[in-house]
Amino acid sequence: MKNIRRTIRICIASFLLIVFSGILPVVSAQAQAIYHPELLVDEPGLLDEEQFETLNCKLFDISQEHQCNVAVVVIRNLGNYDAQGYANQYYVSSQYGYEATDDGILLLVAMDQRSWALTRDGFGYDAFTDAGLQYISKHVREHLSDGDYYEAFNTYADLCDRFLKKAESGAAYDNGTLPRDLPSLSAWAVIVGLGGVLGVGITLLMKMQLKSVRSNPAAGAYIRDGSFHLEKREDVFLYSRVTRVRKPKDENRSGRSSSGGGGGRSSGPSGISGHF
Amino acid sequence: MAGVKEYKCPSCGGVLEFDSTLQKMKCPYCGTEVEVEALEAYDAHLNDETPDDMTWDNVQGSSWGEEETAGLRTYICESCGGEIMTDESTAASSCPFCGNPVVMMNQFSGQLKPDYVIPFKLDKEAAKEAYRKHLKGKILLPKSFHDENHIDEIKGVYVPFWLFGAHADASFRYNGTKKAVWDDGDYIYTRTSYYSIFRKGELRFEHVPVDGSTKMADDLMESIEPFDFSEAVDFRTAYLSGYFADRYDISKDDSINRANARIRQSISDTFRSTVNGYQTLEEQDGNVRLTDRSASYALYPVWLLNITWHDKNFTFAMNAQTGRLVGDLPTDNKKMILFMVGLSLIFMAIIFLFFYLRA
Repeated sequence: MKNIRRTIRICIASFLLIVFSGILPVVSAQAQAIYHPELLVDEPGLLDEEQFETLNCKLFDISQEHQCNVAVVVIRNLGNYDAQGYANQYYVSSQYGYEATDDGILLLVAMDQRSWALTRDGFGYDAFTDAGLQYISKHVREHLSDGDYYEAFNTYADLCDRFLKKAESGAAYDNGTLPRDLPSLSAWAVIVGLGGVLGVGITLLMKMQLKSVRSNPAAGAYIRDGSFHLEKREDVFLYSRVTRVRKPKDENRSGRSSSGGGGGRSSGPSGISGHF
Repeated sequence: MAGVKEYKCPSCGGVLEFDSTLQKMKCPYCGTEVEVEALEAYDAHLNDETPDDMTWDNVQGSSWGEEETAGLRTYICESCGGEIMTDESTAASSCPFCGNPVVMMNQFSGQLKPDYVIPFKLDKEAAKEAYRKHLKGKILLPKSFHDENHIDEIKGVYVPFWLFGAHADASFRYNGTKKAVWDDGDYIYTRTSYYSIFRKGELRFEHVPVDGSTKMADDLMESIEPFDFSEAVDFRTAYLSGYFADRYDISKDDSINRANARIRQSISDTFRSTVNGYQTLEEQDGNVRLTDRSASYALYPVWLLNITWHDKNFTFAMNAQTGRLVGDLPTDNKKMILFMVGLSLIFMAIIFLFFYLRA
């Protein structure tokens, strides 16, 4: 009887072992599928199908390579939320950290308010410093303002890849070590224009050295010393006019409001935001 | 034929020259030095002697046409008897046969006699040295000009100048503005205040020179100014010995306009310099009244250097009183383009780095 009971127990244990050894991976896989966040969300449909697929694959590859999620979320309406708060909350509620970690970065774009926000957590804090976020936002914002969304998100993905690689090497991009940009088109115009003017100007000065024969239009050298006397000297105020022009708006004041992540790591995701 | 004047050495009979270093007459043959005043007294004694009369009558030969001789003068050299032919304004030269310096006395008679002369203070070597310095540091000067050029001719010339002096009473009126700028956060305000400015005064000009010779370019002569009139002395022909000289061929009346223009400009500059503190200033009205006017005629010392390079002539002039030398130089165009391109690229690289490092 004892043996029978023992046999039954073993059979039950074996059955359970067999059953659970097959079921558990399925359950585990289902759990992974549930908690794997979408790396590209495009509510308003800014991207066509091909662009969406290409960008989605790119974000996935980068996230897998660095084990740190790089995500883009575009929504239609922000409602009464501010972009930064929404992005932080979205990051937490949708569990944007890579697998079981918090590691990741998210770019939120809200079309109704034409606002954007960058938020990061976990390893994202190490890879994307405040200065780094400013750098990325500057490059992304240019394309967002132009309405070139695909280019904006591609630029974001490329920069995140670059920043993550740098952080993995042991020293993240930060103030003083940020990648340098080539000058803009307007800067090139200044470079060529000013350089040309200086080059030609100095050469012409050298040429002027060769000419020393000039008419002398005045005879100041022949004024008798001490002979000049002013008899009358009057400066009469007549009237005045006041004009005013509106001060140019400072872009930093209206275009970029920072919130969260103001230096140092906080508990939970944080970053910067602004309008485009 | 008009007479020429040579100053003979009382020691050896050689022709004396004015030595700019000693400020005396000096014999280039025996080295005898004679004061200008002493020489003139000695010369007066010599003039009492009767010269030989060895004129040949009825000499056959071709003669100059009237139109050919219209602008020419001929003189006989007292030393060798050679015939010296010059243009009508030459007042001192050298004999082309024996090289002795001669002074054409008739060029200084009557109204043609200068009132003053500033004797040469710097000699030929100083002129050569000034010329060499003039070439230094000129990056775009063709190397071949520097290396190959040789001075074709260097001569000391007394250039005739009209000197004008006058007392000037003047008044000027200007409109000026002052600006004040402030802002209140939203707007930038600019207050422009308008003023009427009046200045009245007097000053005196002395010895304003105007080139009296058509042979000399006016801008060349004005470029070597100023001359220091305090070193001028009463004119004596002895100072001219050893140098070239021209008498004026531009009259005093024809020179007045140039003098007036320069005086007017200087008065304007002087009065304007008394108006300060304005952002903009515009001359509205100006009146100049000249009184106590005077004009005199003087010879000023100039070294002229003539250079030939690639079949082109370049003239340089040096103020033989102050040493100021001027003269336009040729440009190496190939070098100039290389510098333009090279410097532009260098500056572009520097500005690029500025933008790149700032990013």
